[in-house]
Amino acid sequence: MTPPPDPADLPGPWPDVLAAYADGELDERGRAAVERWLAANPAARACVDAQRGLSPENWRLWRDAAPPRPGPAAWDAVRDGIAIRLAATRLAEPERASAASSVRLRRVIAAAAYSLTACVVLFPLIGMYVVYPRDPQRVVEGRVRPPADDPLAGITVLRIATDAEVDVHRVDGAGAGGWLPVGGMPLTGPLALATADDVELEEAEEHPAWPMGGPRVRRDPADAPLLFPGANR
Amino acid sequence: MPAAPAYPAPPPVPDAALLERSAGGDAAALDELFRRYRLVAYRVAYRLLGNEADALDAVQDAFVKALANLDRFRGRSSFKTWLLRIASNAALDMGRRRRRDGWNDRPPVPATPESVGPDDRPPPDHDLERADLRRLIDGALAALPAPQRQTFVLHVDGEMTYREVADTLGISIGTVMSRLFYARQKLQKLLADRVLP
Repeated sequence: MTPPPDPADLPGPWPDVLAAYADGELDERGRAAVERWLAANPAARACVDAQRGLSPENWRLWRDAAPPRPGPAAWDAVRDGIAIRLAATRLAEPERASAASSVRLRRVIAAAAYSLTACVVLFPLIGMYVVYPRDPQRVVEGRVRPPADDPLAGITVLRIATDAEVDVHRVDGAGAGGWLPVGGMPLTGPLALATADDVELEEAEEHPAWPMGGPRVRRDPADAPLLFPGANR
Repeated sequence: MPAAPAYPAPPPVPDAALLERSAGGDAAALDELFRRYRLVAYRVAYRLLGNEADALDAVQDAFVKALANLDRFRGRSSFKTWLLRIASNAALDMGRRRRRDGWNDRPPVPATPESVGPDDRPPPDHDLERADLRRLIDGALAALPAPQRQTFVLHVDGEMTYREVADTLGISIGTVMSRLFYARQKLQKLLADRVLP
């Protein structure tokens, strides 16, 4: 059997397009392509004939198998049923429209009532505020207020503990970074800041931020996050 | 005496005009629409249900839904395709409900002289052959998956082109071809040696 015709010549998948050929639904190009293929594959004519045998072209089969035709009384009953149901539908439409407009009106009235109530309640409060303005809120001298030259001033700080909760001891010989916080664990459990999938570590030990050489980090979910202060705060 | 001039029959009123008049409550327009499309809707519904009484119920449902929802129709296709889409869906839904409820034994509507068919009155034995043939084809159609059955019935009994079937069901012409091709292959096996040569 030769290969099927070029799909570019056919308006549908192969061999499904043989149904359209049997029904005479192909354009000239598709029909010619199928006929060339059939000429090269005469055994395939049986498939086309089977398709044609059950197509409308076999009108005798469908006429002989036609459904029983209802009598005039049956048709009249169906038509009367349609007329009655349509009339009922049309009668219900104005009622539905009226009900819808009634609902809309009720919503408008309710909205107006709510607005009026809100005005009545809020007006005295606003008036009192105007007559008796609140004192400016006193600002507590922040214990953690960063100095003006803090390089991390623009970074959001995640507070884990305050200086009242930990003591900070200097470790001799550790240089400027040798500060050791001592105190109770401020958190009751691990603080998940990110998972290994959330962050990407690139050449951590060679980064300038790790002058002494950082730890080798394995991307393992079991690894605990390591926190280092960027500066003493 | 000269023969009276033969006047051509007036062109039929377009569906769109009948639909507009029917929407305004014109009973004559509704009658005309019903007369035009009742038989094709009935044939489609019958093939999908295999029962005359159910098919008539589906036809009534389809006309009511089609005419009560004309705002959704908006003339994008012909009224026939709109009606047959609703009729075939109503028939499939009804068939599912009937099977689910186990209620599939409604007696046929009593036969009338009209029920023997559009051609000349056939002899009784021919009527029997016809009923047998119809039962065979209905049984084979019932064995098809619903999408194939609906596509096949719309094409053969709804007298629709591939384009009309595609528009009615909202599928591509290629899908229409596929459904018809495989539906016929199955029908060929089911009906071989009994119906087809």
